Amino acid sequence: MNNNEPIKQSTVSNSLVDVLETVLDKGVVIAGDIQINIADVELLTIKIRLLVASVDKAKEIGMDWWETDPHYSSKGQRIEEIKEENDQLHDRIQQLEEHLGEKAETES
Amino acid sequence: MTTPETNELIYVYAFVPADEASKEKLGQLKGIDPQHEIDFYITEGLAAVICKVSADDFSEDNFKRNVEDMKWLQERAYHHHELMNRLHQVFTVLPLKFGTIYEHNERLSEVMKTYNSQMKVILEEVKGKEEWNLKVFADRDVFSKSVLENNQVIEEKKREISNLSKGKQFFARKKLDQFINDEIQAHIKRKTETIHEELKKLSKNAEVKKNWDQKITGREDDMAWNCVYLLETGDDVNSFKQILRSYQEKSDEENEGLRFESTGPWPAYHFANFKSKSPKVES
Repeated sequence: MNNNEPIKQSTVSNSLVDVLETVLDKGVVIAGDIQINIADVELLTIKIRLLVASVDKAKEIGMDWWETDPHYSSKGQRIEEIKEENDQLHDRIQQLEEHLGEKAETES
Repeated sequence: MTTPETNELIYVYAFVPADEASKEKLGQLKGIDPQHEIDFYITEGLAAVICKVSADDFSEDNFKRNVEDMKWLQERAYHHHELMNRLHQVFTVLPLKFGTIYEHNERLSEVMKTYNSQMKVILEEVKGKEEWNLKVFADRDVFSKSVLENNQVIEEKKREISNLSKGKQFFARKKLDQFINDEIQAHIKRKTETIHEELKKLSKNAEVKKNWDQKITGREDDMAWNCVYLLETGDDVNSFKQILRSYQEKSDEENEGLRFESTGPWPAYHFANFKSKSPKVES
């Protein structure tokens, strides 16, 4: 594997749970004046799973940002790389075509 | 829409050193309550990154009700997460967990005074660093092959079982299965501990987290390791990735069925608990 990052096969709810796992404090907010018990990540995940029935559904409602965010997903990084490579290849093809066109003109 | 002063609470995202706090660097950003912008509250050498929020959404009772609504929670948790990344790109941040709310400026100011030295110690500790999460997954079916192939004890036990009577075989097999199970677990544990030791040397701090069960991951393979590491931005992060890459390659070559998955960079969420911090730098 030539990927830059360890291989990542996130599903939508996994990435979402990663965020919740990190930004929620074991389900309890303790640093502020307002203390609430947020269901812990495990329970939330099950709820989220019910909500996000499929990846397509998530895309539909625009919840797939992390897939292409190179900051968070190696898959996203790979997509960025492929895009860049693709652009470079397009440029190169164009250059070659132009070059061939010139050549044909001078030869005829 | 105007809300009376008394109907507003203060949502706090993070603390940053007062000398770094500059609105120019941050730009105009909408807060978790889109009616209000992100602002600083500065006192005693610290700046709290705040947003005023309406009590309609964030008073204790209303907030409690709202976080039960998954869509509401997701949107706000993502906002918190994205804003924190932005802060982390620009400032040294002591990130707070989602949903840290103070009733008014005086209360916030009080906390910033009470925990002033703890917060400053943490800011010093997390400066120029980032958090990376590593989750290791083990496909037990694949992993067990590598364990079973080279295991004399198991082979011997299997031979013994085949010589037993039918009735005894049943129980002996059950016992063997348990033995194999333990053996696999022990192998995986040894493996992840070795990796952890190596990563710990690279890290400024580390916190082992609970492995999630399959209900949460929704995966076929088991989570065998879940830990966050505090790393110096730059070379150490590169080494961290390099180590994982080579473990993955080696594991693939040996067909062990292990997956190394890391996410980051995160702000140092797990290393920012100012309430449990001793007020002086330990040296």
